[in-house]
Amino acid sequence: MKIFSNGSSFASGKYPEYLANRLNADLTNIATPGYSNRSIWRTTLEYNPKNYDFAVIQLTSKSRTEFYSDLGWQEISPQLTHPKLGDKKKLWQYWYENLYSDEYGDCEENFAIEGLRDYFAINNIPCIIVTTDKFTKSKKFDLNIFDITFPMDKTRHPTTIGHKVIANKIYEIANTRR
Amino acid sequence: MRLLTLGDSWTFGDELEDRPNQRFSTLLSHRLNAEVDNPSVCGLSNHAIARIFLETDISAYDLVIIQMSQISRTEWYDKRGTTTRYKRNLQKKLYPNRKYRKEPEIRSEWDGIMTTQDIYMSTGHIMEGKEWWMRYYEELYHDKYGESDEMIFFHLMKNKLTSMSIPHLMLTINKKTKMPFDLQLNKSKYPRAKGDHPTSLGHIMIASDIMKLL
Repeated sequence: MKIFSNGSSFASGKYPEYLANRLNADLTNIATPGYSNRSIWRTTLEYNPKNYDFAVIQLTSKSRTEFYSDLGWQEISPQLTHPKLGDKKKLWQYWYENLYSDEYGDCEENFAIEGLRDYFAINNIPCIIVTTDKFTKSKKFDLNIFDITFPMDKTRHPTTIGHKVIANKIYEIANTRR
Repeated sequence: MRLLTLGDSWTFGDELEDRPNQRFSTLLSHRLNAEVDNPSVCGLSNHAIARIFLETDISAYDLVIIQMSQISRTEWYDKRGTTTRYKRNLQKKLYPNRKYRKEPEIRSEWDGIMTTQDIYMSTGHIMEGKEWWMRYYEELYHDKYGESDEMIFFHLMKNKLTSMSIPHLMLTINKKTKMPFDLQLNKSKYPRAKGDHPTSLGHIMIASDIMKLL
């Protein structure tokens, strides 16, 4: 059995591995800390996973985005903490203060959900899409990770036990699909 | 039979004298004996086309034709709702002798951004003396981003139509596209009007080429 995983910092942790172990599966995990919903969707399409038995995608805060520069793809979030932002930081600060809205974020989130669901559907790969956006209004997710209780560390990410709790919950959902 | 065509000014039928009857969507509807819906709008970006696509009940259609646009275009959601009025005031200054309809309402709406004229990048968001969107194109936008927009939205719409088993065609006006579109409209063989849109003959030829693909 083969599992594909993508997402941001949560999926870069251990839960995809714990899940793969429980399912006795080989894991491909291309999750990267800081990824936006657009990055997760784009990199999944670019990776073009085929011949997988299962996919678990973790979407993230809808306000994040990305842009391309000579330095490559750069992740943007309202915290504007990316070390390579340089003089672009004030432009993005203006974006979040004056142009970005929840409606825009909702639209971007919906693009990613629909785009990923249909990609896996036409490739006959069962897919679970979870989110770490605590405040999402979308009803299209299989799980909001913040709807379950799990221990977090100082950086507000799951501890080792937290990742196991998340993996167990996704395992339960996966079992209902099999 | 019901047909949906969705795109920008090319599918809208800009520059045609008798747009409702001369645009390729209408010509196709006659040849297919189909009812046609054509919610195309001038200046739509691929972001807007994909958004409108997802807002549309596409299960109601037997055939869907999507025409994607230039990759540098985008859109944002104007929550304050003041941009349309701001653009109108700029137009009045630029073209004082034109006749204008009543003042646009203040209302939240999606606002298209494109680079062909300064006014299409003007929203009233001035940062350090310059429109933010002009700075976006000078300092943030990269064609690689536009290409990735085209790639993700192409797959979004095509995969949705495929998963719903709805017959469809994907068209483009982006000459440099790397995506596997069914038909490239931006070709010299289709006669053009002054503003570079297909003439009535161009629309007849496009409809004919689409029929060959069906």
